[in-house]
Amino acid sequence: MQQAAVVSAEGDREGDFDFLVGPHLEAGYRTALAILRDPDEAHDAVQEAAFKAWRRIKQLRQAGSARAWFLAIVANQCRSTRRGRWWSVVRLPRVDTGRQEFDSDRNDIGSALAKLPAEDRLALFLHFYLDLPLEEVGTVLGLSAGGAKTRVYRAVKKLRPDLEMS
Amino acid sequence: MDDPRSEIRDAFEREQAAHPPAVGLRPATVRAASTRPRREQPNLQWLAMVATIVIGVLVVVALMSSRLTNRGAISRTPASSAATTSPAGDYGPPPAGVNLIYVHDPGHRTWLIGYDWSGKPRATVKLDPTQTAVTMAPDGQRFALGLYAKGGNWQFLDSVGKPIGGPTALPGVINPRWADDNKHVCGITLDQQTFAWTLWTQLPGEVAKRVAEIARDSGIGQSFVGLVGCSFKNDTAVAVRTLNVPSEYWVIQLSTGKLLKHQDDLPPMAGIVASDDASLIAENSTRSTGMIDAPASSTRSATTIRFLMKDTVVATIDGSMGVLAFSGDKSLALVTLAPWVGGQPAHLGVVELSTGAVVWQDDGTTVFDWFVVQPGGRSFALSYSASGQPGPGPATVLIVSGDGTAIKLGVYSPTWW
Repeated sequence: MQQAAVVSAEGDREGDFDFLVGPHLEAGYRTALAILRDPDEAHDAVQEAAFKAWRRIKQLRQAGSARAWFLAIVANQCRSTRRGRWWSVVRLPRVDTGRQEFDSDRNDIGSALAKLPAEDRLALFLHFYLDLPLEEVGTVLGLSAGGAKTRVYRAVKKLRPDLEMS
Repeated sequence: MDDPRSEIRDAFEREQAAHPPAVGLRPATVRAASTRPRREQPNLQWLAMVATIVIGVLVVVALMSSRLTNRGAISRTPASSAATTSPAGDYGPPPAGVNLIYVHDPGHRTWLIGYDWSGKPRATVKLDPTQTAVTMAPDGQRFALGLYAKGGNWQFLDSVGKPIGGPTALPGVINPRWADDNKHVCGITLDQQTFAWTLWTQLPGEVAKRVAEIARDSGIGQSFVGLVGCSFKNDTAVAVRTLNVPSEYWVIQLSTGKLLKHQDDLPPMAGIVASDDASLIAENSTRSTGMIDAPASSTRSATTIRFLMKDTVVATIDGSMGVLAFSGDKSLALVTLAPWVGGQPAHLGVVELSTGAVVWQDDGTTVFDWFVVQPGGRSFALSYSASGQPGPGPATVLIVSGDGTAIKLGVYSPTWW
């Protein structure tokens, strides 16, 4: 596997990391933005995820896809961020910011997406926006490919009960 | 049956388009991940609660302790109220392992006051009456007496001002500077016979070590080779040849003298600044200074920050800004926000490199002297000339933190000249 061969070269760890994870940092940020809906928190989350990926880079020997592997770390980091909001908000009140309004909230589908649970939004984002195959969606969500398919299907049904997936 | 794919994709597209990733996300993130010390950051709510309680107890204990041991001596507000009168306190010997910023006590000519980076006076160093021209190491744990005097004979002093070894002997050294280990001083000499520029390092009590010959001129006054970075942590020094503007630079391994990189044929730029660990450099646009009369067509439009060895661009900032220094953790840059001529008022700011946000700026009306960088941290200590004339002398000293706050320590003669 290409990743294993590259990671095993100990000479330039930063170069290895850049080669393996660097191409997926933008997707990581976009995924974090889709979950957290706050660009500052998304940047923080992808930074933290990158650091965790740096520490665990050798796990890629067993992973088939650096993209899904890294996005799974990002998703976990975003879940931690969401869990941590209750006390960080108390500690650092941001009077003027709050959740940022997204243009997509102003139309029907955008509004419906905004109201979806984060995990459902994530499934739709990975599959329909990043075009990840269901196997990789499953890796990010911690599900099998079949489980990912079910999650995507149910999320679409929540979004538009009248829609059917092809 | 409608396929929801395009509709959902369009909705996400609109959402994403409003908040694109930061410029330089990839290099900045890779760098941050690879340089960050290993440290777990558990996001546990119970841990936050316990930490809050523990910190509360410690604060109470610390306040009680300081009242008992330094009653009447320490002002708890190191801000502008300290500007008009000397603290006139003896804060005792420097605490071990605390980075300090030293200024001359206006009430005692040979005393130095050591402030920690939160702006609290923590130490008094009482120098010998002859020891006035001292320059602090970046961590405040050592001093060099006569570092910038002609002749290359300076004396290292320890954290309480006691001499370490005898005077050094490095004749002709030009612009010596403390290395990032806070122990070595690095410098370059020009041999008046061979016109060779040579890099040296000096440890207290030891003979100066010749690292490498960097370059050779054909005669006197042909160029100037200066040192912009000297890092023992990264085993690297950076030297720049200047012919009105930088023309080439060398990266040299300190331990072996090996040339790691040589970059010549540089595009026009006003100057090169390196981070303390010599891993980042800023190439300041010619538009960042009012001193260079360069044709507009040749000016570099942006100030560029890049990894020194890989040439990967970390960030670009507007060309009217010039980088003066990087923070110790390399997340921030101290910049001139508008073209600056030394000796004139400077409009300074602190820029977050990952976002380009200006987190702090001054009012641009005061003559800026110089700065010192918090080792490994996110703060800068700045001095603004109290007389309006640049150079050693009384200055308004500020500590500017990465969160955008500034603490005014007062008017002092700093020890970073």
